[in-house]
Amino acid sequence: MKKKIDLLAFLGRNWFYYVLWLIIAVFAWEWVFAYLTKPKEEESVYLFFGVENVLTDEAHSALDSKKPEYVRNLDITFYSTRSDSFDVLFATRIQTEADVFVLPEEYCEPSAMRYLFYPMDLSEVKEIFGEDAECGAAVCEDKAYGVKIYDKETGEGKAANYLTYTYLDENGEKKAVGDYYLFFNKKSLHLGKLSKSELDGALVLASAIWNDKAE
Amino acid sequence: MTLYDENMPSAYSAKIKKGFLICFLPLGFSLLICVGLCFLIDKDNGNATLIHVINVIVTVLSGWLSITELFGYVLPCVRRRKITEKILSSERKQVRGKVVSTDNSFTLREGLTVTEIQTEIDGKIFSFYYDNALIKPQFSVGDVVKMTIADNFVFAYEVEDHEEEN
Repeated sequence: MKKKIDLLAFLGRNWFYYVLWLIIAVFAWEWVFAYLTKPKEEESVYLFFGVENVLTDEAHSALDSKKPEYVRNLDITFYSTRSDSFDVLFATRIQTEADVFVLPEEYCEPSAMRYLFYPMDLSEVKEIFGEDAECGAAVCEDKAYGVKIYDKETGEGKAANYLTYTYLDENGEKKAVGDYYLFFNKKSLHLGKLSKSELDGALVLASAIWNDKAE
Repeated sequence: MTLYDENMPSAYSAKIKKGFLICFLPLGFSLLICVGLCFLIDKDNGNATLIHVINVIVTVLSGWLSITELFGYVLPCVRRRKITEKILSSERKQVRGKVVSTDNSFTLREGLTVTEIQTEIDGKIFSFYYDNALIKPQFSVGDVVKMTIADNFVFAYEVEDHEEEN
């Protein structure tokens, strides 16, 4: 005959297993749902700005409404190229994950451009960015790897609402590292007609940055 | 009266099998439901949070049910079968003494509750045990009892002199 279990005594002896199971269940489902609901690589566009500052809230409010419908996750990060740890960060994560880069002209070195950035015909650049697009130092062997987005001489830059290209030196004067260029990662899945892909998030967002009107 | 017989280990084995089924079938079934619900996740309409919460609640409750069954019934049965097999295979000896205490009950690690019977034999106190899940021996303090003991457990007993209550 099965006797009645003294519930309190039973719980007193075995409470650990109940708590352990609760923790396992919560964490296991947390992990499963994080995996299941994580945007896929083809649903994420990653914009990297190697500029001095980005107002990310303003950048999101400017770009979220313009991103294509299929893009579920728009990742915007920035890191100053003057930082000591920039090269490590760039080599380990940014250059493999970012779809669009905004970087100073020091990255317009031919071998680096060929290795990292998508080469465009000049006609394609005009088609995407318009007739006034300049490629400057980002041209190599008749291919344009980037488009100039900030001119150091004139101090004019695109998307000035949320991108800051200059910094203050020790005398309090505004300075820029150099001209800035916008590049596409040659491994990006979102290059649309450039790579004959249906996913054109990088092109659409780059165009939105290019056409952003400062208020 | 004999408390143990040769069929008890196989009866415990049947109970253990049934207990494991009761333990793991509901858990497996509820996990299947949870996995099925995962296929209904629609990233666009935001039902993932609701399904996440349902899955956690279903998993936790079914797991607790299994833990209760496992630790409250199955494992004590396993322990009881082990002790019963040991008792049945142990050497038995006859003792005769006066019961001086039956108050002390305690629970072994696997949830098996036993009662200690202190018996005075030739002026010395000896402790024997019986499994509370078995039929409670019908003797009380002061009775003179002839007991068959195996592995310190009461295997059989016979009340020789029942002390009248005042």
